[in-house]
Amino acid sequence: MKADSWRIPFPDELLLEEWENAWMLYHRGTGETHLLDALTVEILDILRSNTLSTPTLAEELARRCQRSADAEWQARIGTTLERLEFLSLVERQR
Amino acid sequence: MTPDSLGEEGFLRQVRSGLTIRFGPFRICLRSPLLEAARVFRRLYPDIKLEKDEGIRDFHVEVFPPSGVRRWWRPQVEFRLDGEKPFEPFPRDHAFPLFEWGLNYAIATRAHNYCLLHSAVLEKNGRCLILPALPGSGKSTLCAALMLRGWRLFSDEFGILQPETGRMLPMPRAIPLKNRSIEVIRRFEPGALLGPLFPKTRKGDVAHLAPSRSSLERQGEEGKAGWIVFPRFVPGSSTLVSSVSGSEAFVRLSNNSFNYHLLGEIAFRALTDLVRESECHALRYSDLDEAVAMFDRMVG
Repeated sequence: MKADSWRIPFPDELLLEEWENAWMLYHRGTGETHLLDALTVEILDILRSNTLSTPTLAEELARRCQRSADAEWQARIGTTLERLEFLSLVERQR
Repeated sequence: MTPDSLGEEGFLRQVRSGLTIRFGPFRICLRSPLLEAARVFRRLYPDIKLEKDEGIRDFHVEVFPPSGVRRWWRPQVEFRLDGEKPFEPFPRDHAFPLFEWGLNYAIATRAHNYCLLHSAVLEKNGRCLILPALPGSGKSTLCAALMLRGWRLFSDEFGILQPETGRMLPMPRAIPLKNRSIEVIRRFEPGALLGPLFPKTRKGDVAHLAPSRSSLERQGEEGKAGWIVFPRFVPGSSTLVSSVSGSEAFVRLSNNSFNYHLLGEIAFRALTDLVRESECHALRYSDLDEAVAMFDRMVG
């Protein structure tokens, strides 16, 4: 079975401000503001210019974070993507 | 021309026919036939400059007894904003608090060319101290104490941030002290100019502290943000200051804004800049004198 892919439909709608320990994101599409952690910002950074499946994205993030893309990591990335989808920040492509 | 210079009779006549006053960026036309409310206004704002009754007024405010027979057996007063009645009537002897709260309502619901923070703001040496209003903060008491020790009052209720310039705008008005704060401020500064006590209002017992004369005289002078301090009154605690991260300050300020969601990206950018140019702290206190001294040290 082919894994779902993820993308950001309108990258220009995301305004990101970096603080010392967190990021604030304003989403023009919904008018909502979100407080994000570093991993989530990395995900958005990658998906700004790529459409990727969960395993591919998890591998790229593992490489950036210098760790293995084990099952626990894959599940964590999957959960984060579902949260981002719920917030309308990313879009799933089946 | 000021309420004081008009004399009581002349001022009451003027209020009855319509008075134009400026509170910071807003021009307000106030009309009321209620002598007692006008007397309280004159007592708390003796030196406010009265403006000519011409040009655009941002808000037309009327404080009137409602019509109908009810007024004879249970005297009431209603607040009208540009002809509309946003609230149920109040007891007539609460006319002045109703005017003040009604004007706050008008600003909070309509002045969306500004980013409006629910905060007290004071200024010293050209930099503004922002005290966001959170439950248990003791914001009004602290604000009153700072003003009485020489800080310039911008507002006890609104942090008015101009998004285009990033400057804070003053709007000095009477500070409504509630319940125990009234006695606290009386003891803190026995010479403080307080209005009458309004018992059992919807917010408890209320008495208003007049804005300082210098705050009113300089209400056209904007300020640059300097400090954002989240106060918390904790009975018996020592005065304790800790730093707050920028992201936390942003979240707390945006949640505390009257119109953040309405302004969207404009407010996001304006608050980001405001927090970046400010030192952000949390303050725990119980002793007003100590807290004021701490703020004075902070200014340097």
